[in-house]
Amino acid sequence: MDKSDIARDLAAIVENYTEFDMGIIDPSTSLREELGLTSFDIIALLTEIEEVFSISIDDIDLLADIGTFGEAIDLVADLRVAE
Amino acid sequence: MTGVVSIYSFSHREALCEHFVERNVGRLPEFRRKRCHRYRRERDKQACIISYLLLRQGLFEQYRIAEPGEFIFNGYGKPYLKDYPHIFFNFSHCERGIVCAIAEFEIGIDMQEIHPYDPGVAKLVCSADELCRLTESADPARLFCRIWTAKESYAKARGIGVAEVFKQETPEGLVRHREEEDAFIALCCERKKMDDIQIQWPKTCLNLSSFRNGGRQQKNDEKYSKK
Repeated sequence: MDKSDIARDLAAIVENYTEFDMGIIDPSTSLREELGLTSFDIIALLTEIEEVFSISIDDIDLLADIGTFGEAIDLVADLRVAE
Repeated sequence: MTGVVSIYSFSHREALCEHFVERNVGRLPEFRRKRCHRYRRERDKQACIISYLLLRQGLFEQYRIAEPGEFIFNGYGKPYLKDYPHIFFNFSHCERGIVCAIAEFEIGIDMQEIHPYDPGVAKLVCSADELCRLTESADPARLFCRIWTAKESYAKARGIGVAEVFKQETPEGLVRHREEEDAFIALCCERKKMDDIQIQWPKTCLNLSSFRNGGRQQKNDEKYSKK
């Protein structure tokens, strides 16, 4: 699974939270300041990411690292490599 | 004003007309308009506008301050009033509504509607003791919402990221909850015991009708601009 596959699947997850067409979102899009996701939304997003991508997010400090859609893609890619 | 927190709220989001943003964004100062325009979703733009108007209303009622002025932010994005360093405020919003708390000390407020309980989310957020309480609770969804809002309000009062208070017990004495039918509002004053704090909540709800007629609200704006 390469980053474009991750981006596609991640977009589908984020769509559920934003009710927004992710087709026009790019990696620089801010999850909080543009898509309006709250900390609660991002936590819920992380748990769904765990399930969809079969990864384990144990370090909750990662929450602070996810500011943009691109950073979320990178997080998933890094965790998939680690596992 | 020492020892007093005033909370302003708006909870009729479903009744906002489709032209609300268009009709009211012009009432914001430029820095706030820019922030509003960054949001992609209409409801986030609405929250951005309403939260600012609540703050403006509160500052006028409490201090006769006509305009909040620019915000400055700490490293975690917590906003402060550049021109009034002795006045503190905090916003929160959810589908249920929007709230603004104002005081003369550091405060944090969080509003969250109750979601179906997700053990996976709780595992990331809660301390061992909190997880135990959730497991034993007859209504874990409600309890988790209470725990979450306590953590969020505590982190916001301290001006830090909420992740920094995950998996720790939140000092209950510093947090006061207001339980609605389907939501919680939590207020935290970082360095003061809540028993010593007088909370006025919610002090005022913005009148929805003032948003329906831009002309009528313009008249109110003129009142606020007079010192």
